[in-house]
Amino acid sequence: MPYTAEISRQNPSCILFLIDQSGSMGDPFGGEPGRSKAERLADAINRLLFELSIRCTKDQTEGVRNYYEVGVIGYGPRVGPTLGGKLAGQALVSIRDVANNPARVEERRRKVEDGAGGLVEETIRFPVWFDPVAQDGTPMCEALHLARSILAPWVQAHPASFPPIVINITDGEATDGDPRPAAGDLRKLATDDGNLLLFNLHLSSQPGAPILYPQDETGLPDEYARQLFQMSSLLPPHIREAAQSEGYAIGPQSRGFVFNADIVEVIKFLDIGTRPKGLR
Amino acid sequence: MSRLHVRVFELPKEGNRREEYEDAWAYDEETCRLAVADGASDAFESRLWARALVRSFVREPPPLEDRVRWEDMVRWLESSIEEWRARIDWERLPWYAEEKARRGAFSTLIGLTFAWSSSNAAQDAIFPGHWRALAIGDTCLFQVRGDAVIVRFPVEQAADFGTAPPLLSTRPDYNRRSLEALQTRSGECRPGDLFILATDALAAWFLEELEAGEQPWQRLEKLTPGRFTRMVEHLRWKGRMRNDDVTLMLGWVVGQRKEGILVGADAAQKATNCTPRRDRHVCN
Repeated sequence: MPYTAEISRQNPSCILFLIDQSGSMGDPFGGEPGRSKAERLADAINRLLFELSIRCTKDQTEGVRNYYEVGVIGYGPRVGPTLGGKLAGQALVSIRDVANNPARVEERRRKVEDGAGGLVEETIRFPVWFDPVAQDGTPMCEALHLARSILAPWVQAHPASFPPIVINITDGEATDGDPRPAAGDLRKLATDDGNLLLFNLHLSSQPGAPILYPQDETGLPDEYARQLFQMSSLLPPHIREAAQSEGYAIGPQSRGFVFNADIVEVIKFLDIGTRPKGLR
Repeated sequence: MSRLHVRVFELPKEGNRREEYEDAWAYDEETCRLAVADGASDAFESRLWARALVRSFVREPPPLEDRVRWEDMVRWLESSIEEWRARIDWERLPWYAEEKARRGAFSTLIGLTFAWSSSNAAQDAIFPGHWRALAIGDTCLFQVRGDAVIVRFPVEQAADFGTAPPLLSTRPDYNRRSLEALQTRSGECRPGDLFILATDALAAWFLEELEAGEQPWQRLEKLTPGRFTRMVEHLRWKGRMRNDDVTLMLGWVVGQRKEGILVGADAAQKATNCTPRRDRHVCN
C-alpha cells in the first residue's frame, strides 16, 4: 500500500517549500489590516522549522535525529534556496543542521500557566531561519523545475522513504507560463512508497471564505484556482485523518489544496501537511 | 523463602539501538512489588522518566486503597519528577532540547503489590494472598491460573488498544487531567498463579491470541532470553506484533501445599531452568 512508510533515521522524509516572494506578497492578507503576507508567512515557516526540530529531539545525548531533510526555495526577484545564515545557498538541509544553524535567535516573551491557575510570563528563545522578501513577479514554473532537479536525485537515493512533500505557497498567478506541465513532471517523481506529493496553498488577496481541501472543481472561482487544483495531489490516508481530526470535511478525493487561505488556515495547512505517518 | 519468583525479558524496537529502549521495569522479590512503564517516544528523556516511575513504585508505592486519592498520587509523583529533573543538564541544553524538555516527559505505568496472610510461605497454602495494582496507559497485567486468564487489566480487548492512552507526565498541569484516568484493581492469588506484565505491543498480541482461543502464556512460561528474542522477531516479521520496544515481566506465586509439595516454585523452576533466588530491588 502506498504512503505507509514510517519516517526513520535510515529512511528520512523530505519537505520542500516553494515560497512566492513576488511584490504582491508585501500586501496584507485579504480583508485584514496589519503585517504583510510575506512577514506572516515567514513567521509560520520559522515556527514550523522550530516544531520540526523539536519533534526530532528525544534526549540530551543524541541531539536532533535526522528524520527530515528540509528546503525552502523562494521565487520572486530570484529563484533559489532562501534560508539564511550558515545554511545560505543549500537546497536541502538535514533537520539537525537546521536546528543547529538558525540565522539568528530572537528572545520573545510568552505567557504560560503557572500550574496554580495563574499565568506567568517567560522568555523563550525563538530561532529565525527565513526572512520575508516581496518584490517583482512570480516565476512559479522555474521554481517547480528547480524543485524537480533537487528532488530527482533525492528519490533515487532514498527508495524506501516516504515520498517527498512539496508545499507551494503563492498569492497570485505564475508570470512565467502555465505551471501545470512543470507540476506534472514534479509529481511523476516517486519512491517505492509512492509518488511525490505536491500541495498548493493560495493566500487570499480579497476578503472571502477559503476553499478547503476540495474534491472537485465546483465552487472554484476562476481558471487560476482550477489550475492550482489540478496541480495538487490527493491527500494520503494519514494526512486525511489528520485533517479530519482538525475538524475539516474531508473526502476520499480531497486534495492538498486550500484557496484563499488566511494565516490561521496557513498554519493549520503546514501542520497537517507535515504530520508524519509514523516516526521511529 | 520468597513468595514471588520474577523473570524479565526485553527487546528494543527493531531499528533502534539498545540504549534507545524506552520501556522501564523494576521488581523486588522480597517486598513483592513489580512495575513496568512505557516511555512515550515523542517526548524528551522518556526513558529517564519511565525508570524514575518504576523505581519509585518499587521503593515506595503510593497508598493503594480501593480508590487511590488524587492528592496522594500528586504527592507520590513529586519525587519521580524531581529525580527526572535532576538528571537533566539544564545549563547545557541547546534551544531545541530546552523547549522539548519544557514540554515534559510522558509514560504509562503499571504497578503491582502483594500482601500475604502470614509471613511464612510454608504456612499459608490454604490462605490465598492478596494483590493490588495501579495502571495508567496501555501497559497491561494478566493473571493466569491453571488454563485460564482470570484478570486482564486495564485493557480487556485487543481492539481497545488506542494510539493515545492517558499518561503520567513530569508536568503537574498535565497530570491534573490524566490522573482522572488512573485505574486500580485488586484480587486474590494462590500458589501456582502466574502474573504477566507487558508493554502494549506484546499485550496486544497476547489478547489477540486469547480471543482466537489460544493459550499464549504457555509460550511465555518457557522462555529464555534467546527464545524471547526469536519469538518477538518472528512475530514482528509476520506482522503479528507491532514493531515497538517489548518488555515482559513474569511473576510466579510460590507457596506450599499442606501435603508438603512446593507449588509454583516447581513451575517457575521448570519454566526458567534455574533455582528461584531472592532478588532485592532489580531494575533496568
